[in-house]
Amino acid sequence: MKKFILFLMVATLSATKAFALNVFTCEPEWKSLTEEITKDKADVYSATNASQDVHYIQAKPSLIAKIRKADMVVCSGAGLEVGWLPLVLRKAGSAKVQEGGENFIYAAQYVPTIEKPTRIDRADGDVHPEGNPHLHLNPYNMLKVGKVIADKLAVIDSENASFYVQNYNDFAAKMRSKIKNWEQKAAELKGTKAITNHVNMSYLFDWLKIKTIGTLEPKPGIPATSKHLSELKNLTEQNKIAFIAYAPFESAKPAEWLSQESGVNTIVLPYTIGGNKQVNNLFDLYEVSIDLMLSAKGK
Amino acid sequence: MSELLILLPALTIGLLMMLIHVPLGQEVLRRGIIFIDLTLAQLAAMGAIFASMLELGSFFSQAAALLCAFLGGIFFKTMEKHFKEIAEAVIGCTFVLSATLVVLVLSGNPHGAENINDILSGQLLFASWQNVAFAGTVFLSATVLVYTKPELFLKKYFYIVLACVITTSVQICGVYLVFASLIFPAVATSYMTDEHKRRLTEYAGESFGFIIGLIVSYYFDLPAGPAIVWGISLMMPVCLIMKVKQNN
Repeated sequence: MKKFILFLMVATLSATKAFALNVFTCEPEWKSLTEEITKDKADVYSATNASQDVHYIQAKPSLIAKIRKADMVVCSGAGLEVGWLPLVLRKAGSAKVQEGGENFIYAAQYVPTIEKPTRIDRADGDVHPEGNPHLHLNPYNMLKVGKVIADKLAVIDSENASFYVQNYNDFAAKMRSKIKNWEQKAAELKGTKAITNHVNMSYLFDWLKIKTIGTLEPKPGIPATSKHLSELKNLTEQNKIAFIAYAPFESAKPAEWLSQESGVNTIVLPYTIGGNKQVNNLFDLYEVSIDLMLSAKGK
Repeated sequence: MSELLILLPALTIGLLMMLIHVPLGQEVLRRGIIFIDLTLAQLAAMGAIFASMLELGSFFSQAAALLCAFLGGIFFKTMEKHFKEIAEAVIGCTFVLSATLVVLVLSGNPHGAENINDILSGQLLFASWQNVAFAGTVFLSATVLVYTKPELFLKKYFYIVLACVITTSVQICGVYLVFASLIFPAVATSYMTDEHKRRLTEYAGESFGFIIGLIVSYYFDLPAGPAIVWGISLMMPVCLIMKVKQNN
């Protein structure tokens, strides 16, 4: 009888371990990328959703519980999560995932970041020393980070290593072919001038060679002011601006005001998975963003 | 200098609002119901925000805001009449309850912090000519009523007029500026006995304060509502000096 109970216990333990690969991601884009690789073999959680501004996340107790369960963490890094993640990690005190540890991925460490500041001064607004952290908007970066995720998963869950590697290869092949399409489609966007709310669209524009000639925020993190908006209005008179872009979680007011004053169209770029109803995965994200920009330019 | 044209809608709304806020504010001071007007503004703002979250159109939002202000007004009038000893306390409690309810309801909302800030500091700098038309009509009508038939609109129907006006002004100027533009001029000139002189001083002082506050907020990138509050507050030391001179 004792042996039977022991057997049951061991069986349940190993059964729960079988589909207990838990990945904690900070943002929906990393959840989506991870799931391309893990498919149904892991429970992937995203700490934030598309309607949230990731700069203003609160360290909630529920996040601590999720970190405790996590076998791996994937976040953007470059200071994007510095307002809440270190606190959550400290409180969770997990042996498996620690900043700098093997099962912890800060995407920024594996890709070339842009807009590294030459000086660090609060007067410049909310600037990240390691460069602009909104790096998921360049699909080439996703290819690089995806490989890192697949390699680490192959070590954490070696039983399924070939599964993860195969999924990554399939994902990468599809992505590379789509990138070719997108770059062709978006060729006419090269050199286009745009205004964004914050510097969070930089990687998308850097990839497609679109020029941001100004942001609605006078400095990163500082809300639009009247004087700055009137300076931007002057800019729209001197330059042909194709569109004013902002994200779903950002205030529409400054953008709509400038649009009314200048006649330039506004577009709401989804920014991440779930940003609008049509964006359900990474492929949608770039596809829909390019379509929105093309149609705005066309008007 | 032409950039200042951007401030024209805000300035127009501000001056039109001042036309009615000054006489209403003086009456508020006379009746000693200072915190009622603060709480009514907060209730109207709360009604507007919750209604706009339901996304049923701006008419619905306005109606909801007005309803909250009316209900608040009726509630406070009843308190004043039947429970005078605790009336002030109840008004204060209502203010805090309304403000914290907004925080709680908006805590999960991505635009929550921005909306809360708008209730308090207002959105003057984004005022459009459409806002001017709507709000201006409300303010001008109320002004006409209050000056032509004060015995009716500053007495019997006072709370109704107050609720309607404040509901409109709080959504543009925020709770703080609504309070300041109602009360500051009346308080600053409270020593004056000549009614005409007092009214002129109130209008002159508030216009001046409003313009200074607006221009400062523009050039120093400061939120307009709070900056104008301080602009209008300049009336107080100025009037104090005038009073001291008058006594001597």
